[in-house]
Order: sequence, then structure tokens, then C-alpha cells
Amino acid sequence: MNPPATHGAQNLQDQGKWDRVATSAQFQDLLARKRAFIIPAFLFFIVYYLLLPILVGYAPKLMSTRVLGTMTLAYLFALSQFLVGWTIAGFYLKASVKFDCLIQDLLVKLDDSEGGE
Amino acid sequence: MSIALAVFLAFVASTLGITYWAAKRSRGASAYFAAGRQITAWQNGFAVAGDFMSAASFLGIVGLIALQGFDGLLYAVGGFVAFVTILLLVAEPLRNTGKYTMGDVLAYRLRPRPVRALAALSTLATILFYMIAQMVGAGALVALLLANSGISYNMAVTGVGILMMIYVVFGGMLATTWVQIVKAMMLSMCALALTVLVMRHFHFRLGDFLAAASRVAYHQKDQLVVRDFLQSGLRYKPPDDRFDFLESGIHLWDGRTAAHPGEVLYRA
Repeated sequence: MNPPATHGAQNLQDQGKWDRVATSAQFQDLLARKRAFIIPAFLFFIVYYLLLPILVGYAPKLMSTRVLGTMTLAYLFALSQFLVGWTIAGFYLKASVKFDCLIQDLLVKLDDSEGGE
Repeated sequence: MSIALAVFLAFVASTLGITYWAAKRSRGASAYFAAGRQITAWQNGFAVAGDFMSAASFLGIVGLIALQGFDGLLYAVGGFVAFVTILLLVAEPLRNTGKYTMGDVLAYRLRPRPVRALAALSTLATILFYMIAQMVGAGALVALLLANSGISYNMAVTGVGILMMIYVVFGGMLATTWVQIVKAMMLSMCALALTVLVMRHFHFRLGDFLAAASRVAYHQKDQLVVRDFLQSGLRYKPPDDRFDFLESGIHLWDGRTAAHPGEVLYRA
């Protein structure tokens, strides 16, 4: 009825296996690649978002400029947040496919090395 | 019977039908609490969208933009930014664990029993405060929709509460997921229909629509005022309130990021 109660971290045999994975160059490379995407993407978006209330509050003249007909720069900037957010999500989706390939690769190699022992 | 009442009753009847169907299918604890862990990503996505299109965010944000123009728009943007934050910082690390709930992941990595207890406790605490706001909104809405049918605000809140309990108690996660999917689709279609109707009023010319929004005339304290709803300043008066505006911007982002796990990640 319930899923089997095997807690990977608590299984000693598994523990050794996962320790080896954690120290392997391939896994470290995967983590580095993830960080190289996640951290810049997150920082860029947060700075982009916080610029909105900062600019509206501290540069009201600039932000109330009419850019398209009666549309103000502030409103356009606010709406662009949705576009930029979806774009980042799209980039993440593409990157995650690559991450999954690397993980699959890692698991296949792990199985091979287990079989060789 | 008014149209509003008929639509409302039709929605209640169809959601109760879903609950009955789910109750017949649901067997065992995992089936009840996590829909047998068989909800697909698309179904879950629609259900999360349905969760988010609640009385507070769906109607509240529309109302804020309608009354406060640009300053209200910040509420929509802040909530959206929180979703991207969750995607990158919370969902990403959880994705490859192959688990379905936040509790599953933590119980796998740590000692299961205390983690489960704490996860349940924190979920209940978050949901409780969230629910109070939702119940007030739902009650006010139902009382407004059925204004001429003799249903009072108290009766509406009680009725909505009983209905929610029936969905959850008898239907479990499967029923609530499908109710949210139906809700998300209906609300999306209604929003689209309203957009088309509003744009029709302006002969489908975006320029005309924006021009009208930039000079909205209304009465305030018996005086006719004309305001620009595309500019900041209807809620936050520059330059005195500029820090308030920034503060709201930050809180809408971090507050929403903290609140989404309550409403969304419990499901994810």
C-alpha cells in the first residue's frame, strides 16, 4: 500500500555508492553547470524586477515619459516583466533538458561501474 | 432564477459530480492525499493556476488595477516574479528527486517522522491564514452574486465552507485537482471574453483604450477629477511615498515567494 520504506541515505551500501557519485568529477561538473545557469538567471531577474519600483519612485520624470501613444515607460517596463520572466522560464526549460542528459549519462556510467565490480 | 444563480448552481453541481467520481476511484492514503501520485505535469500546472486564480489574487488584483491604475499593477507583477523565484530556487533542486510533495523530499533526506509532523503543522498554519482571507472573499462574492435571493453574508461563508469540506473530505487530492483544473479553464475563458468585450468597446484599437485609461474621469467627494491610470501616484504619492512603493515591491515578491509554497508547493 505505502511506497517501500527504503531511505537511500540510510542504506549503508547505497551511501558508499552515492558518496562516490558526489565526489566524481562528472557530478561536480553537473553542479557547476547548474550553478552557472541558476545564479545569473535569478540575479538578473531580481535586479530587473527591483529596478521597477526603484525607477518609478526615484526617477518619476523619466518613467512617466510617453513612449507609445499614451503608454508610459513605467507601464511598458512593468508589462515587460512578464515577457522577461517567461523568457527566463523558457531558457530554464531548455537548460533542464541538458541537465537531464548529463544526469542520465551519469547514471548509465554508475550502472556500468557497478556491473564491472 | 437569475443567470448568476443558474451559473453558480451549475458550477457547484458539476464540481460535486467530480467529487463523487473521485471518491469512487480513490483507494488508500496515497490515492487520497496525493491522487495516487498520478497527476500529470499539465494537469498539475492547470490545477496550480486554478489555485492561484483565487478570490484574493484574481479579483483583488483586477480591483486594485481598476481603482489604483499603475500602482495596482505592481501587485500582479510582484506575484509573477515570485513564480520565477520559486522555479529557479525551490522547484529546480527538487525536480530530480522524483518525489511529489515537499514533505516527501524532506522525509527522504531527513528523519521521516518529525519532518512529516512539522510539514503538516506548517502547512496547516499557512493554509489557515490563507483560508480566512479566501473565505471572506468567497462569502462576499457569493452574497453579492446572489444578492436578491435572500442569502446573507454569514450564510454564504458557511455554505462555501461546507462545500469546500465536501470536496476535500470525500474527493481528496484527485477531486480538488480536477475542480481546480475546471476552475482555471473557466476563469481563463471568462477573462478572455471580458478582454474581447472591453476591446470591442474601443473598436479593437489599443491606442484608443490606452488613451481612455490615461484620462479617467470620476467623482471624488462630489468633485469631478480626471486621473491618469497609466502613471504612478494613485496610491503612492511621489515623491513622499516612493520608499513605500519600493517596500511594497519587495514585500510582494518575498511575501509571495513565501506564500506560494503554502498554496502551490503543497501541491507540487
